[in-house]
Amino acid sequence: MLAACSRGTYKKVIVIGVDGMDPVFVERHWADLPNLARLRERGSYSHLETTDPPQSPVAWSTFITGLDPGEHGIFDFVHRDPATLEPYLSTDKTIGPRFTLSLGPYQLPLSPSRVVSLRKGRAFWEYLSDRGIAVTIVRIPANYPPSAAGHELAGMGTPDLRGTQGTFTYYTDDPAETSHEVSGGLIRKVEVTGGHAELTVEGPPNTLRRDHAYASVQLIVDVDPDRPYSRMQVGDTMAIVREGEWSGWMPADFPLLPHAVSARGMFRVFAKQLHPRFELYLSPVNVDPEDAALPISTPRSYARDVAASAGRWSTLGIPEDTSALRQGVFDLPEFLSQTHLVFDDEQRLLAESLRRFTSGFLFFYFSVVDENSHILWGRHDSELLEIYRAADASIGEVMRREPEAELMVMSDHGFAAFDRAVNLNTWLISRGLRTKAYALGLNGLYLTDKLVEPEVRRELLEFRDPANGHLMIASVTPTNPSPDNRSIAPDLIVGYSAGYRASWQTALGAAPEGLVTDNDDAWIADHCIDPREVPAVLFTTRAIRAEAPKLKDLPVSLLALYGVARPAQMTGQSVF
Amino acid sequence: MLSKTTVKLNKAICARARLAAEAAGYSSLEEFVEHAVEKELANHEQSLSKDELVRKLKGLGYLK
Repeated sequence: MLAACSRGTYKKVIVIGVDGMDPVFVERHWADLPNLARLRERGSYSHLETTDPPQSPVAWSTFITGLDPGEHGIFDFVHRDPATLEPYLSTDKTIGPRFTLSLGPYQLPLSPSRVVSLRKGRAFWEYLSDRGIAVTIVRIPANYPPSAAGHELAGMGTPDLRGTQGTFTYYTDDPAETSHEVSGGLIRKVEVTGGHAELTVEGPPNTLRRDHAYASVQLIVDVDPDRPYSRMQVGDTMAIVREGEWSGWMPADFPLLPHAVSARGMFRVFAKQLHPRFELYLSPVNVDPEDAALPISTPRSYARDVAASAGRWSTLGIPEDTSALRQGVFDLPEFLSQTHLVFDDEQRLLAESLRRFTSGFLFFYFSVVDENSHILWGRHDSELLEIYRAADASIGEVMRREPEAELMVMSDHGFAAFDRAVNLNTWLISRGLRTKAYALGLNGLYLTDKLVEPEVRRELLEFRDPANGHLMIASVTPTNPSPDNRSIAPDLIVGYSAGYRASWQTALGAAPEGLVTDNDDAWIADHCIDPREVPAVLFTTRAIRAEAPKLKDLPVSLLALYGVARPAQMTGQSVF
Repeated sequence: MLSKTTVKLNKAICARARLAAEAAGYSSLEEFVEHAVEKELANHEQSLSKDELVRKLKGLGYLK
């Protein structure tokens, strides 16, 4: 029997998903996190077993479907095409139009292109929606494009308008600089004459053109000669931006077919320096929720409705721009100011979601703890604690606004330091195994000769850091894919010990020099390691009875709160 | 019932396709041709270069 209060009105259940919230960090700071402490005292708190590997798209796919990775088919951020071995984003893909018409430089689609999710399995909230229970899902990862139930806003996996996971642009008139590409961004050398500059903002690749040249708009900038102010204009939108400050979201229409077709995007601008150098950061061009060029909500009109009430927000899947920090475009305070803007967006979305929430199920996601932990963990504890405190305050606001609702606060994994980078393909070469196995992705190992599996597993578990003798790999686990997923699944998941991770080059299948190198990047912490090293957290208003709750138990538990029996394909148990 | 479209094939290719379809155990030439076109379309739809694929991934932060 469904848990109905009255006809068409169901009990309120709220889940706050805080990506990367770490139990050890939380337990060290109860006094600074009063709302989480209160939730623990009045309800329950537990560590939560994550997935193997403990990567966000893998873990959230398990939370969404109740399936193990072998079943939902998301094994890593990065998969490889089994035929070409080229890497690609595991969670979704865009399929171009099947038929086109060539007209001069243009190639006009005669059928629409579409984006498809590569995650298999039904979202648990679809079972609720089937029963007439209202569901609202805000920015949960691994749900782009969003499923077709209730009201949903897409999160991690949503690209920028260029189709990437985030590409910033940095404009500078520094004579020593040249225009070039960096990881996650574009550096553009510009001329500023008499305080005036016309900056080309590259938007989406114009798929209507045969050469797929990027559609662009001009951002007109005029710098005050005496004061640290600039006026910026794109189309009809104008902003006054002071040096060291941010603009609001600036919408822009990128022309695809002159006077006929355009794609709407939006960006924010940070005036890093106006005098004597000109240094301007422009965010990745996000999908504008007021006129979305990509499928970022269910129904399509929902994003526009929310934006009309709550204003625009960062629609990019991972909006915190760690790339700009790592490329030296941001210093740490500038990076933190950008993440605060993202958090402001998320708080406005949360307030709007609560305002609209009258019945049924609400999921809301915070990205800010995860992205800041990658940068701050272990070296900037006070700054990271501020981020945790902000998340705690938002949770307190939910408790204040909805005192009668069942509340669950959970994360997908914890965190660990990332000090040393393992070149797994280089190791395979050194062991004479490169023709029989290769590594790609952050934890995946593929065997081209299955007979070497016992040897590879044994040797990996004995693999020591030449610098200090530490065992670098704590677990090597078969993936057990379903028949549908056999062609895409790695054969083994490599679980690194805390302090270690696959090197940046390993993730793309390369084999650079050296077996292990120091991680000298600004990205100083990670979680793509042995899952036992990075458990997640679980807080609930209701008593947790399970001794060792797992991520895959949560969808079963949430369905049980509404009296919905566990679907046959889910193997978790209710934690209550 | 699915609607069908007639496509003309060069005779030599048609003969080779018929032989290949029989050898591969397809029930008809049409089934073989449909499968071949599907495979080619799948390649076309995935035909991004490695640079483009990697560029799409880099903003994740987990790669550089």
